[in-house]
Amino acid sequence: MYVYILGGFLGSGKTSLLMKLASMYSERKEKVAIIVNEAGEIGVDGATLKAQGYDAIELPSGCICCTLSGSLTNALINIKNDIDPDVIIIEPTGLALPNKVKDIVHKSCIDEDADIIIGIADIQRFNDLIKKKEEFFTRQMTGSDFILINKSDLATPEQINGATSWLKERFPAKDIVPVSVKDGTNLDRVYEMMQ
Amino acid sequence: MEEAGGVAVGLTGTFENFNSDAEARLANALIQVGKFVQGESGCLLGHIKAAVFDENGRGITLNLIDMDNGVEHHGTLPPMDNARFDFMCAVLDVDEHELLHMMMDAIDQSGIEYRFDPSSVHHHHHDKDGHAVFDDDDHEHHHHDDRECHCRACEERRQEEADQDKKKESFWHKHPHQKDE
Repeated sequence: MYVYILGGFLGSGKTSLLMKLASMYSERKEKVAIIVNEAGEIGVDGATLKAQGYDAIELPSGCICCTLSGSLTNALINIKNDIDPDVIIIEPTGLALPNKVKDIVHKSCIDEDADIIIGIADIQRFNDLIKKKEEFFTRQMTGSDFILINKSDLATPEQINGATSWLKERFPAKDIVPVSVKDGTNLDRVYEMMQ
Repeated sequence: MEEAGGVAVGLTGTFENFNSDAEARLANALIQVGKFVQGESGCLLGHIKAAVFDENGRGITLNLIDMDNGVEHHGTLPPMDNARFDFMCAVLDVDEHELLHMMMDAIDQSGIEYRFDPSSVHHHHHDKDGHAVFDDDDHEHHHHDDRECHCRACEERRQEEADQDKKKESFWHKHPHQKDE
């Protein structure tokens, strides 16, 4: 059983990527369970996923890397016991720190084969984000096994190169992959990088 | 969330007579909230989402993350007499209370027939005359000693009403010297 944690700021494309991955695993006839976290009391994505037939649990009203850590542990244990999936995909809130989520997953003792963090950077708002929240964004990308620069269909090559250079400077050992979840650019490469 | 300076608020309720026109109005409501956030924090960093769905959870999702790209629409929903909705906003550097007010005002001014779930409207709501109506007696959170909300949106509304009252003053009030002539 593999656990994937999608890390990235609000609106970076985590939910869109989650649905692509869930669809990909379903086509491979692998059992997928999804945990979606929403910081506010009201969530939208969990119901949408359930309506599309996915086993999805929504954890609203807090952040699973801090206030809802107990809820995340319980959800993981229940999923393991009730569904025993091949893959669990966790989408924390866009204000979470993914490496903290990974710690909680590991401490939940669900006997997973690997915990993998996929970092997602939104090229469209990249400059605004590093201008306003550089430290927080850097912390979000820290711990990623690889980083996707999403929405590449909306950016120029110069913008993508600029973001890639910025990320490479801070994370020289990580693969940085420009993708477009919307039109599928480079998603095949992402699937190959995943187990 | 505190580390990032983010806030997350949401509303739930029911739309009546929901159709494609109402969907367009709802999209415009998201735009209004987005403009507010952009004005307050300088840019829209975050997302504003709404879902409208039937009893099986199937329906549409509207998503605003970039003002230039506008609202994304996903899914379909046939016209419905009563459709449930979730409306949420997670953004940076905006006052939570004012944000909730803006979201409520945006729905109210959209022209869609709606009912908010009382449980999702925290401490008060505004009736059709714009008066704050408290759902419970616990308004200590906002220090409402006079049972009035003092957030900026309510203060601006009171100022507007006061300005309009001033305009209605009588001629004699404005020109008292002429009364004696």
